[in-house]
Amino acid sequence: MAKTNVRATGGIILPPERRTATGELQQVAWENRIVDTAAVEVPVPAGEPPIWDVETRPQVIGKALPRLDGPIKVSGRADYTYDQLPPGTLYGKIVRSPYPHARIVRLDLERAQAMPGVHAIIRLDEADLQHSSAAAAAAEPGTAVAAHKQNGGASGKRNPLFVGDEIAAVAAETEEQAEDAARAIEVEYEPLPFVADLETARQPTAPRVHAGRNNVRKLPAPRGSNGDRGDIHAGLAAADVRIEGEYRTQVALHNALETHGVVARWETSNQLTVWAATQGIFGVRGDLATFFHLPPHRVRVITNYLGGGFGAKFGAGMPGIVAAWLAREAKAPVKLMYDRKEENLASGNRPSSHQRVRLGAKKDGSLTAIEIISYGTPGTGHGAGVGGMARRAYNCANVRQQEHDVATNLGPAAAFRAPGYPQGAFALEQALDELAERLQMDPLELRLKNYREHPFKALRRQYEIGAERIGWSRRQHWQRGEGAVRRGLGMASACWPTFGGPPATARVTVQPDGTVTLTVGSQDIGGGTRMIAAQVAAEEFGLTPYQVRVELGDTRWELYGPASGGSVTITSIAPVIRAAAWQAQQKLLAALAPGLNVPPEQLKLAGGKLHGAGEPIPFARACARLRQGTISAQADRAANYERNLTDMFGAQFAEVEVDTETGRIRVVKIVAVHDCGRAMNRLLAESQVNGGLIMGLSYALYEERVVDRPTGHVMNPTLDFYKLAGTREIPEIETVILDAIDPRSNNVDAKGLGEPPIVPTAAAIANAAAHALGVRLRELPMTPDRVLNALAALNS
Amino acid sequence: MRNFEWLEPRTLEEALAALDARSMPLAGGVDLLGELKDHIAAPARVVNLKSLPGLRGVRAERDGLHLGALTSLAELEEHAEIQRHYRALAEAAGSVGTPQIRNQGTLGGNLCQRPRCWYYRSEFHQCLKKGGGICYALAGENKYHAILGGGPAFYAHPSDLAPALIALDARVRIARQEGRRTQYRSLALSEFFRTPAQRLVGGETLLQPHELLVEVMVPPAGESRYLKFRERPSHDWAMAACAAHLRIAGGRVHEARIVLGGVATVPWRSPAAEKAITGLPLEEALSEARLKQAAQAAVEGAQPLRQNWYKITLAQTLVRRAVLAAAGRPIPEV
Repeated sequence: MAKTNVRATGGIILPPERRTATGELQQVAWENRIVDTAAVEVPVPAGEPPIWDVETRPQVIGKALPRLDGPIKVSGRADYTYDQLPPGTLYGKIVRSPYPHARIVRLDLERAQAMPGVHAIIRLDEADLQHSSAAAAAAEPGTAVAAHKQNGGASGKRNPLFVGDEIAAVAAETEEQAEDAARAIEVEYEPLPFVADLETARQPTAPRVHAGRNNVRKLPAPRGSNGDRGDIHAGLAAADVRIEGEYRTQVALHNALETHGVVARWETSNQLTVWAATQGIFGVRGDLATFFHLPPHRVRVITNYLGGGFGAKFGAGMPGIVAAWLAREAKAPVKLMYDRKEENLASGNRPSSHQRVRLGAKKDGSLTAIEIISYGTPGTGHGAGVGGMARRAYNCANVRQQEHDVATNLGPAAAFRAPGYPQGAFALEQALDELAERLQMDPLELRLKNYREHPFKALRRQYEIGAERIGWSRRQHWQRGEGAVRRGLGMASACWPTFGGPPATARVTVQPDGTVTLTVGSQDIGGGTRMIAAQVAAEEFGLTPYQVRVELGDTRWELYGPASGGSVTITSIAPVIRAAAWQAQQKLLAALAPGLNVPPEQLKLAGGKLHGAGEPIPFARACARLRQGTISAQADRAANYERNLTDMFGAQFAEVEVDTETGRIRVVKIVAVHDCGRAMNRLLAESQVNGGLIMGLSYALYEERVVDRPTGHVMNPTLDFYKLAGTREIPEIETVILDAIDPRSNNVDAKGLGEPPIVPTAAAIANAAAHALGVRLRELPMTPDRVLNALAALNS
Repeated sequence: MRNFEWLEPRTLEEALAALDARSMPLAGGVDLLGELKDHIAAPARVVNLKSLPGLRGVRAERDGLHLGALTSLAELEEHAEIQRHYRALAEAAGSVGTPQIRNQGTLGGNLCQRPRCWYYRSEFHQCLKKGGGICYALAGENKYHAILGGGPAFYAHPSDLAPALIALDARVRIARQEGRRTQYRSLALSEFFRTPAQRLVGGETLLQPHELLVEVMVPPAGESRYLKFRERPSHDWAMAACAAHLRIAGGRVHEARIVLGGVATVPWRSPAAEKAITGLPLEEALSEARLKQAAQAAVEGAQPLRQNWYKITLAQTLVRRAVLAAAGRPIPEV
């Protein structure tokens, strides 16, 4: 595609307020906020709207505006998947294995089939149901049960591999009937050897989780400037100071408020509609189309509202396949929503980690070596790496990270908000603090010493702002306290790669009544995608976002949008929305110009009015002049103007109190400073950071999946036993968003923000606790028993 | 949950007559509904007590408080007389669950609630408490379990009201139906609970299936506090708790009650800890040495499991702080 080089200025826009010497927040003039500017040549593809840079001040984008779906959500009118109940809907229920590894000796459906209200029963103990379409697939409705009757309930082909693994499923007229019928299915198991913990699974004599495969699998190690590099031995040998430490992190559970689930309805024998609790409607569509051998357009996936996903809701998954399969068998719509226990046994988790860290540094603090060797368990799944912090965040010539997945007979892992990064940060950022102690350096100074330069990187400013707002200078004359309660200050950094880009498609239409409709193939995971989409379109039409109609969360428009994961949503869709809106606006002005006897270039939309032809005309009245009907424009996401974009960064600072007689860590305050390129909506951006760091705090202090090793059972699959931080655990939070404008990124300078805020929180709290206690807590979560044990070990 | 017969008695007599080994009484339902849904309990009949007359409310009389068993935890927490003169009780009631649970949960239900042990709550684990052969906590995950009064089972007693009310010398009134006559008996709350060695299946109290706890009486009290340590303050059972009740006159501790919660299979009163500070001038009783002595006495005989050694330290901290707090001294927030 033809490209034009455009000269543009990037830079950092500091937050609108700054602390004065007395600590008060004071407004800062726009001109004084722009710092660290640099001009760059940007190759812009043809068809893109005019480029923005650090001087551009959009009218709608960036403002702290309340989300347009707020009222409908808080009043209970937003229709989530959980709320869908088409007429005649049956309820689905899955029968799950009570054993962590077993052979199914006998599976008898007879008694269950005779239960009242039962319409369909299917077996799920077939080979690799999730990944092949062989099982139900081409079978005609009704044949799965019939086939099962024929073979007299012979033993299944797939052995359950964890407690909660799927065995069979029923559809019945009420939830209670479905549960009763599920319990009436008789399954005889022959328990087989299993392993339910990381340490045992690593032993060569341990039972194998996957037949014919070692439990321990080494993960591929990328090389290059963001991968392994240099010579670790030389780096360690060249060091004046070396430190070594071991760190452990727990398995954490996603626990989105809305559980996994799907409502499936067959419109005809080859036309399927599903409402799915998903963060990727096109992924669900693809999986179901493959499974049922349908062209993708024969499957419609709808997600109007989603009650959280956090990485565990990609693809149709078991709920999608089972609900659609049951619906096909029963010839009626089926609703299958997981209960909290199922959610916490079989819908994903953040893998654990056991990390050994070695750092080497010169006397001046400059790093000569970073080495991480990690083992983590993703259960029967994969993905227990510890993220990219060690390879990406700091300036160090010799880096080696060896990561291993260790299979266990527990539910499979799923992506979980910044996969690997919070684990990695917990170890690396504590090791850096330990190194700073050894060097008698300020921890922040050590990080600045190893600062890695990137174009338009905001981290140095983020450190400055965070330090100022937490009062980091107090650390020089710090009073830990003499009594039972000790105080500490700590910090940690975050980074996350910029992943967003094509493909994504958006369409904008303008009707003669002034209705502007934006259609985009994304879904709103909950962070406010709908609102930001409206803001971007509104910007081009000089309207408020509340005047824009947004259609999303539906595959029927055939406008592809990416799954909401990897912090890509806004980065991917905001630029294509702007492109479509800009094109539609150009077409609108061109259509109106002749009737107004002005050239289109003279016309401008602003403040809800059309300017440039005498007295400003209200937008709707201007549109009424469109006698011919609809104006429309559709655009595909152009590639990012530059391929290798700077990561998103962030810094969090924590002040804690630790009661040395009870072991309680109380977080007093967290200051979080982050960037997402240009913030699209300051209020939503702050909410995103608040949510991320609260999740990080909960991970740091409370959450842990507890497994009974002798039986392989998760002992805390419910929310009374699995402890999520509640209102009393939330500290004072000061969130600061600054803009890191990189004109080489895309036409709105957008980057992501979903993931970075959870990355450094546990590490910052751990560093603050170590500062308070004089002893380092190397295991998550940092619960009272662990604090008391660490203090006891120190005193003995 | 399994289907059951639902009974709505209009009088206490009808309710008592309907109770037997196959039926269960329902008050607030906070605990029972969880047990039914988790398939831990499967009664043939559920007897709804909520509409029974005369079992709800707080009466302050000359001989002390009379508390109906159906009184909500929220009412106990907010009652002015209780806040003023029975602070440990108000604090214990206010520390239970969440506001929704305190609106729904009752005094009687809190005293009779079943253990929160996750093996007990798991349908798969046929543990001693459910008539099975082993206590899974011994070799399993026992961070939250008992360090005192254990064997053969090791759950921690979950009630917050029980330690506070025992410290306040409360008595309970129990009703049973014999023919056409309703019989009552009353006993000290400290006698009400049963260790697993005394009773393994069917409950943690001496209540028989055909009996109901109908009233709790609390005599006029001295200075009392209830300190509860929750791993997650927003909503949690006690990792450890301590109720302290002091009668102080003329600058001297005349009487002391110290009762631990969350660390034993029953609410754990410690006469030895009480003795360590009883009869002493207040300042001496509150001295570091005496408090330490009381704290050590309170956990004497503790037999921690693999993951709950920390409870020894935690319980001692709470004993020291609860006594100080009862005497009106400032303490760090727990």
